[in-house]
Amino acid sequence: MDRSTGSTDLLISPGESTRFIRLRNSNDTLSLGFEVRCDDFDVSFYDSGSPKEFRSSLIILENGRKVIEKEIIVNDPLRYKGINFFQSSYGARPPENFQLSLTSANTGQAVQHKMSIGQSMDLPGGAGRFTARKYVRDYEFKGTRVGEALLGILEKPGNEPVEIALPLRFPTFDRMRKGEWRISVEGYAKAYYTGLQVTSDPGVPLVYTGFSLLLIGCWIAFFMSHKKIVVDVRTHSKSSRIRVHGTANRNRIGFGIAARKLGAELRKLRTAKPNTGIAFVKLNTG
Amino acid sequence: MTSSLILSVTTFVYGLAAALYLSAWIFHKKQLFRWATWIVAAGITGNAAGFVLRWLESYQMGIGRIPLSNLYESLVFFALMIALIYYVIESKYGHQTIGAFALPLATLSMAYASLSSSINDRIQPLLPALKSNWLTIHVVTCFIGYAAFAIAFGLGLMYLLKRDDNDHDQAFWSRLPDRHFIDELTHQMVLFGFLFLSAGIISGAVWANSAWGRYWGWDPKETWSLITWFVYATLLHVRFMRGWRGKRIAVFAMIGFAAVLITYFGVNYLPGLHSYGAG
Repeated sequence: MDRSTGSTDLLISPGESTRFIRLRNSNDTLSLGFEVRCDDFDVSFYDSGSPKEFRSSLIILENGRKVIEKEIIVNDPLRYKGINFFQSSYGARPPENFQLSLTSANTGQAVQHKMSIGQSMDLPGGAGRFTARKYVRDYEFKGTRVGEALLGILEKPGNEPVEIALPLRFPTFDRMRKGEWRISVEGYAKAYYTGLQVTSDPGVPLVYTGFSLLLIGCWIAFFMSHKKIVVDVRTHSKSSRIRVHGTANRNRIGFGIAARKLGAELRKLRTAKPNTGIAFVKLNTG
Repeated sequence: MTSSLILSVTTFVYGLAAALYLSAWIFHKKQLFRWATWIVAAGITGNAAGFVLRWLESYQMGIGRIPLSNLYESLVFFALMIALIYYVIESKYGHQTIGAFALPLATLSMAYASLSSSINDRIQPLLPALKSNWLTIHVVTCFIGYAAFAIAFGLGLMYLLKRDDNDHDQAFWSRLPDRHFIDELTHQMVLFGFLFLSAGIISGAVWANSAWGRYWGWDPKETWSLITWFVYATLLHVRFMRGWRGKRIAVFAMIGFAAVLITYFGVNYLPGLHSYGAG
């Protein structure tokens, strides 16, 4: 990768790091020679809902030591040792941190609780132990899709562990279980991954040189012309006759106008100072 | 917003100028031509004022960006460039009948921007990808190119309408510049537009490379800009190498402009990176 040209997409979640890149359209994996870690990802939105800015905090580590730290946004990549990291996209990741609410079936008293996937908590009053197992995007309950749900296990001493589903759209769903505490999901922290475009492209200066030459070449070929002007002075006995001839290989109408202007200038000189010779005529062939 | 109002008025100013050029040509009135030139100057002033004011208004709204990021703003800029290039041609060559072919195009562009209900004239903030100084360079170069091609289209049409130079019975057509002049000027406009279109495509590629790490993504607008580039490149090539002149170049310039229109408007119906230019 660092010795050749290539590009690929790298999807990475905050907190993760990688030393390897999988190349696009192939199964080859290449070593970066260093480690890149995404510490944080943040996206902000306009009121209309369209994204305003998304940024990833990237850290380059060499042998576990921090070398560079940079927040990249679209149009502002991180470059290190010939490898470029562009912020190219982002996407939603299954959420991990949930806000739960426990409501007592007897008193109606409610307790808030925060937990992540894999964590467990004891329900108040020894009513059991709840473990958050996984997030499902579209949970199916008896043949009906009920949307996003958190699945968990409830273990009660002396009973078989039961799996319970907590659909986000239906906070009273867990009432059906007829437990001492009704569990519902209030919400979750949105989680994202960041999409980075990783490229190694040592030829950029060459390409840019080509671009410049192309434009300069077009300019020269189109607008710089080979112009010739001949001012022919013929002396007769009492007067002189001056003729202006011109030729150009491009923009002949523009050149014709310039040549005619020159002729007019000469005519002006004649009427202004009838007895003096013409010393200088400024050529403006535009 | 004041800028939208000024720009709406500018539409009618351009329309008036176009009508004056047409009537001056048809009824052979020199006085009308003189007025037309003043009205075009007023239109350009209004157009530029509306553009600058919209820029200032975006700062007052806390958005702060050059007004070159959606269809409305691009149409306004397109009209400004057409009128400006025409004005330069008129002051350089003095053939005012060209105004009867150039100004209607500026009017149409402004009318589409101001009067079409599907075009949003609100000032909206930029998407992350557009937040770059390349935005200005890319859009300005592209639209100078488009405007030059629009005028080349008008000249092509003029060439095809113009009868034989020696046909003096037709006083009406003889008031148009001679065919040789139209042909040369069409070529000049295509050269000018081609240079700016090239600069526009290249600046887009450089921008894409600095934003995403790649020059080219075969997005519909990119593809069509390349097709347009090839059409005009072919025109220049056959003119230079095969000596094509006159009618064939006029038709070619008009076909090229059709490609410009597809690049500008047609691809808005296809999904792609340039979709913000659609509304």
